[in-house]
Formats: sequence, C-alpha cells, structure tokens
Amino acid sequence: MLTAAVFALQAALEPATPIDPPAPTSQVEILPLRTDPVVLDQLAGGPAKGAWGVSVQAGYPWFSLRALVGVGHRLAPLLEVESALGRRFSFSAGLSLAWVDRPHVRLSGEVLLGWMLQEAELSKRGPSGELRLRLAFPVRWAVPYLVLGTRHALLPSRTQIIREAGTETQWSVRHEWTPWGSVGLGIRISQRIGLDVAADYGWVDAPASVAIPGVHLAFHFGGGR
Amino acid sequence: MKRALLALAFCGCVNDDIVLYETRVRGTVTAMAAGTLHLEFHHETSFGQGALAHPLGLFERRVRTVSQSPYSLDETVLYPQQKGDGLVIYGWLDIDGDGVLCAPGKTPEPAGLFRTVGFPSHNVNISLLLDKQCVGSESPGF
Repeated sequence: MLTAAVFALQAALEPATPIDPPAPTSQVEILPLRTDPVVLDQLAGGPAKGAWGVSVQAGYPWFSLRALVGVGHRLAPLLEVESALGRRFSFSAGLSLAWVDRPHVRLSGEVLLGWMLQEAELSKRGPSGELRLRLAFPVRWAVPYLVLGTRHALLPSRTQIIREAGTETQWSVRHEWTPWGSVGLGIRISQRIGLDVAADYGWVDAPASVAIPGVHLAFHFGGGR
Repeated sequence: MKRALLALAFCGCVNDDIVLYETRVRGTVTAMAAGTLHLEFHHETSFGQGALAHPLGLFERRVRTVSQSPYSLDETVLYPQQKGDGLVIYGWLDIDGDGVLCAPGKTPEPAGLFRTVGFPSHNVNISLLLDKQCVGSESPGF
C-alpha cells in the first residue's frame, strides 16, 4: 500500500514527458484517370482497357446492335448485328483500333468479317467484310463524328448443266460493294450513357443501284470506366 | 470429296441456282426464199399455271444465213429448266435484210413455229416450215 502511494506521488511530481510531433509522412494524392464516356468509345472506337459498351440503333432503314470491349493499347474486339428493315442482315465480328487518341480528336480503324443475308425480292447471301474509319471530335458533352466504310460481300452462284454424258456443275461469285458514310452528333449524358443521331448513306450494290440516305437514333451504354 | 467439301462450304449460301438442260436441235427449215434466218428458242409456257400460264418465254436467239431451202439446222442450246416447260422454236426469214419482221411498204417475210413433243430430251428433231407471212411468235395464228 505504501509502495503504491510512493509510485503515485513520484508520477505526479515528475514533469510530463514532452510529446514528440508526428513524424512527417509522404502523402500520395490519387487522381482519377481520364476516362472516356461510352458515347465517345462507341462512336469513335478504340476504348481503353476494360471499358465496354453496347449501342442499340434504330432508324430508317438501318438498325444495329454493336458491342465493344477494350483489351488494351486502344484495341477492342467488337460484335455487330445490322439489319435493313428486317430484310437484309449482316452478322460481323472484328477489331477496332484507335490510331489517334487526343483530348479532342480520336481516329480509329475497324476491320470486320461476317455473313450477309438478304431475304426479299432479291435474295442474297454470302460472306462479307468491311473496313471502316471513325473520326470524332469530342468537346464537353458533344461528340461530332464521321464514319466512312467500304463493305464487300461475295455472292456465290451455282450453274448445273445437264448434258447427255452427265451433269456439270460450275460455280461463280459475284462481288457486291457497299460504300458507307455516316455523319452525326453524339451526346454524353453520363460517362456510362449516351445518345447519338446521324445521317447514313449506305449505297448497297454500288454503282449498279440507287440508294437514298437514311437516319438513325442510337442509345449507348457501358461500363468499366 | 473435294466437290462435296465445296458444296458443303457453300451450303446455304447459293444465290442463283441455275439448272440448264443441254439440247441438240436438228432438222430442216423450209422457206420459199433466201435470206437471214432468225431463230428463237422459247419455253412453251413460262410463269403461272393453268389458264394463267404465260405462253412462250424466249431464252435463246440465233441468226443464220440461208441460201437454199430446205436449210439443214443443227443447234445446241442450254434450256433453263426452272423458267418454264416445253420447247418451241420460232423462226422468220429476213428477206430484205433490214432486221425487222415485215414493215409497211416492205416485202412480206415468212415465219413459222414448231412445238416439240416429248421434251425434255437431249436430242430433238424438228421440221420448221416458214409459211406464214409477217406472223410473230405469240400470234394466235400459230
């Protein structure tokens, strides 16, 4: 009991130990990386790694569904289904690569391979491919853009000649060219949601045919950004 | 095997599937004059069925110079099987060399039509008599 009282008194009399100031620590400020809105990635191609997006487009005559996912180095696999008034369909898979990616300019190229099917008065079917350039100038919420493309389809036909000696089968392939152009305006609603409206000119089977321009409205959504 | 693989590869992607039946048409063409013989090979009926069937359907034309009658004919044609039925051969003789079957003020020109029997056949024998003046292939006169 006496010992405890002595220790308590000693403690009370001793001057308080000065408190050392906190040691300086290095602070890291985490800044968010610049992320691109989905409407820019969908319209201009070449999204960043992990960014994905889906576009649903309706218009006259072109309807489409398009999905992209960035895998790094501004390269993105893409899937696309397109229809003209439910009579002509194309199913394509391809790659999108952004060559120029600056705050207010993005230029990308796309290559697609797939299958074309047309069921109407003039039925057509065969493998198809497309090369496409996408150019966009994002400014604040607006993304004016331009798309130029050249589509090609191979349409195989078969001719059987029934001769007295037997049947001879000959194959031939016709080439169908569809130059493509779209000019429009994308609107960023948020990083993950956007819209666009555009005028399209797809000259199917040029120059043997006549094509009228079309228009479309598209909804874009995505994530990973 | 190669042919089967090719067929498989194109399965479902054939655009025009055309079947042509090769037929050798032999026989004579008789006319009372000389000139340029214009031959037309038609289906007997094309498009539609029954009473709505369209008479004739041109699929081949040939032009031959005739200097004597009867003219011996030997032509091989590819008959489009999916476009109609039957085989009809129509001919007219261009006497004045204007390329037109008759015309006001011009010499009347003879024409004739032959309906084959038992077609399809790879060998057809005909006897085409050009004995009707200025009659077209679809004329009721035939």
